[in-house]
Amino acid sequence: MTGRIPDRPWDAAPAAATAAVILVNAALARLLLDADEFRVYVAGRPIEWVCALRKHFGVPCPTCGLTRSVVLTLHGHVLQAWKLAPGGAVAVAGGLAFAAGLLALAGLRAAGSSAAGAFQARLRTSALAGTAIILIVWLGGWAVEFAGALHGR
Amino acid sequence: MGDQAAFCTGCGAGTGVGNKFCYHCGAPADAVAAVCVKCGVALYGVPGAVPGGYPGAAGGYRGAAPGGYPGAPGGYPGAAPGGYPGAPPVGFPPPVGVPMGPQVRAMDYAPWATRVGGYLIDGLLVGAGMLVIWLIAGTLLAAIASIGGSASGAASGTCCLLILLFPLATLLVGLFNRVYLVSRRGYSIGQGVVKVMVVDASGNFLSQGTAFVRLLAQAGMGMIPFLPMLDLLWPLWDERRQTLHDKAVGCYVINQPQ
Repeated sequence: MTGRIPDRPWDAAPAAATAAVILVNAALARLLLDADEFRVYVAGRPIEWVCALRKHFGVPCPTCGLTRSVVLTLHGHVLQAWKLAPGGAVAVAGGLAFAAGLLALAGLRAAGSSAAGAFQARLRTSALAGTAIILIVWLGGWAVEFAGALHGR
Repeated sequence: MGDQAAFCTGCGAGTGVGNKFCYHCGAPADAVAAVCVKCGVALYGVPGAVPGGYPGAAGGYRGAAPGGYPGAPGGYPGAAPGGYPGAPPVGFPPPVGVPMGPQVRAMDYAPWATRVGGYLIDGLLVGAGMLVIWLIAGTLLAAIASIGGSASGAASGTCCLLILLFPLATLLVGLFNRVYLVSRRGYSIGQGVVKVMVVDASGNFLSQGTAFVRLLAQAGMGMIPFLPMLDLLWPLWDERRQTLHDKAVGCYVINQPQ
């Protein structure tokens, strides 16, 4: 009992609601936002914000390019997104995979399947591992950009 | 579900395996519960309260060592063998295998408004953490900028820091307030003020790992628009008054025993 997460199950409703919020957010972002290599557009209007750290010190902050990367991934330009900020592409993929997993879990729960418990345990482990991978890729990508910016000075 | 599982992993119903009953209020309790989930009285250390011995009792049970829990001074007042105040009738606990229904129904779930009060107080602590990080990092950036001769650069450069301030402060403050304290004594500072506590399905305090995953789940939800709102409001219509991050680790927030 000690040291491990109890196997208290999620019900179908919270799993489905969480998945729905993630998917609706992704759909809204894809609908309202667009991006190219240089900026993000909201309903066709460009956002002209420039990273102050990059502007004044010549190095990127950890969130530089993340919005563009997320939006580009949602529009299917994964390679371009990866080059800008790998963390954004991996985060979108991870978020959508998690939402799909939650929907599958909700389906199993609603159907009263005996496999739901094992599936939930696997989903939880995958979510934790995925979070770690996203963090590593995000910070690793930023470190590479940061080092490149310093080297190019 | 294993043969010795006390609760069904599918529906949460008690299987009757290893169950016991609180000697104080008579509510059903898991065999390994440290406290009664209904009245909050300590079950650990009370002779006869744990049939067949207590797992890990020799080394001390996490968060439930004698004296570590309000009202558990390492021995129950008047706990003479076979003569506890309000002791259940002869025959308790019932024979192994007798179903007793979902144990969680006995929990005194904390009201939503009370929980929000605790959140607000814990939120103030995160705000204080943000201020400290802001001051330290802002000073460093200003120093760097003054060396480089660009004072305005420091002023605008710190805006990038703002994006990271909230998650960073949430994590740093949370590691102490919502992981260490919650696993150690059952409640964070804010929860202590509003008199609620966090327990698992068995009425035990969370392990540090579980408390950390709970914090991580809440922080992760915080990065997705609208999800934190859903998370915060979920107890309003949930049967067990759980938030989504409670459900992620299978824990409950209950009123502290008086």
